[in-house]
Amino acid sequence: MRAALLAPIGAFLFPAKVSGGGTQQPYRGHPLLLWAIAGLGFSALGWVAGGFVGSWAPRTACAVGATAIALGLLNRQPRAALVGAVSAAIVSLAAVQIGKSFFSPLLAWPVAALVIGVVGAFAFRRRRARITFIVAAPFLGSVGVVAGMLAIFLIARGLNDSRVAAQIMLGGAVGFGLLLMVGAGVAGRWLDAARVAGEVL
Amino acid sequence: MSTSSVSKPLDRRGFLRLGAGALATALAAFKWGRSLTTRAWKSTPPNPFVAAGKPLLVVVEGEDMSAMLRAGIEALGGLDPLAKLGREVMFRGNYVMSQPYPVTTAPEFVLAVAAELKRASMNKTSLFDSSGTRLGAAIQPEHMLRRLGVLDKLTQGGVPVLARDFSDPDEFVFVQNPAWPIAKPVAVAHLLHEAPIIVSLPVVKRHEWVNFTCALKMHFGSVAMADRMLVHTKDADGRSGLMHQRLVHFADAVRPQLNVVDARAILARSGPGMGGGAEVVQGVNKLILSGDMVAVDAYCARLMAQHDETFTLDMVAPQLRHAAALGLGKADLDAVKVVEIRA
Repeated sequence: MRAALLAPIGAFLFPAKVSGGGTQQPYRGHPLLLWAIAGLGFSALGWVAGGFVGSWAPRTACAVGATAIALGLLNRQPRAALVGAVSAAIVSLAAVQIGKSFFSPLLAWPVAALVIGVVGAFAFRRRRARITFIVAAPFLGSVGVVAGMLAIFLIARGLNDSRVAAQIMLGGAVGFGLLLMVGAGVAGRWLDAARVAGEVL
Repeated sequence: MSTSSVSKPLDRRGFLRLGAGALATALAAFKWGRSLTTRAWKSTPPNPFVAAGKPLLVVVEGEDMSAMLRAGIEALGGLDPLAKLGREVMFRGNYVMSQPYPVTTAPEFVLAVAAELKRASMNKTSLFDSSGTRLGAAIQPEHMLRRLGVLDKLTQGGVPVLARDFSDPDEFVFVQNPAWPIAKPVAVAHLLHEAPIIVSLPVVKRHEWVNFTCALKMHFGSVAMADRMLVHTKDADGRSGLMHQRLVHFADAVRPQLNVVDARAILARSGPGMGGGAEVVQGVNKLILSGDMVAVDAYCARLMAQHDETFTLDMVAPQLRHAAALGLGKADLDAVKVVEIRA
């Protein structure tokens, strides 16, 4: 009974790769937890490190750049990591500037997520994984930022502590990195599995 | 996406990368931790405006604002006690929404006070405000001040405006007074925390949730949005008493040396903005000057009670009692030397 309940969770966290012969092999990529921790840690580190340079703009640029680096490193593509980080940082800086006079500098998050999605998509072998990740990245980035901010606000409200509430944008950055990286990990496991016989890449 | 995972011993390049990563993490953690450190709350010299051991409160009645100010400062004994603390003065006004005086502090009043301070050889005056964030195009910190004409008038009048982002943690420092019953720090603007002299320029208004706003409540604008948001969400209607207590702690974190209240007109019946039945009472024609912000609020609450039959002194009693208990000033006007003059 217990095994039957845990089986779907196990299949999700540790999916099997289908080989060309139709047999299944254990998935050998990084554990999903590592994607989550890397996204969370790198984006938080980037956000705090950006504070050495200035306020929202450098913080956002460093957080999205660090997330791109985490994605590239976990994909074992250091050059893609560098390209992704630099392009995401530049685009986010531009988006912050535009956002100052139009709507909000928070626009930088989905825009940077799209850039990371495009650069990160090259790590996938299958077209469906690439397209899904490019389309999903801005959505995941935006939802991550909002969910992270909301989580920090609720924790701060529960603790009635402004030290926690003051970190609301750090929460947004962490949510961005977490969801984007988990999205990449899940896309890699579910959509980028090795080709099944007869399936078009 | 690569699916192979081979563990290798750490080579020199790997070691250097790991070291750089660890160093970056340590530096970031240090900076973050330092920004969260709670400092001792501001220790300020005792009220410089006292007479025979009692805090002095000067009430000037008249029509000409500049003449009233000059007479009030003279009755206060001059501004020399302030000049001894430094030459730079930071003003705090009440800018809660884009509505003119008496909802917000009039720019002409700020300039008139700045002129009097200059006469007392305090050459550098600036106005601090934090009523917006750079995270929204329509709510930039300067936005409201620009709409009110405060930004242009003060800048042209030689009083720079320091508008700061209320959401930016780098703009605030956490301070805590061990005497506060709520053992949580408050994020106060570091410009105010470090300013040698603060002159507060309140207006007299009713407030929907805490009934009254003047010298104490206006310091909601001196703390980070994080604090304002927590108080507003945990005590949305002011009934639990948290807002009454916390507004006193916010004022305690600032502790201005001088309060100059512009009560030429007051906002009665409702507030802190127009609408909701709020009514501007013109012709009050008073300026109130004191170094004791609790005494200022006690006096101005009486002023409000005279002009607003829906207001009673009981409504402001909790915050005045708490402020007096924390040593911010005297809530009992019998313990204050009140000087009433005409100019």
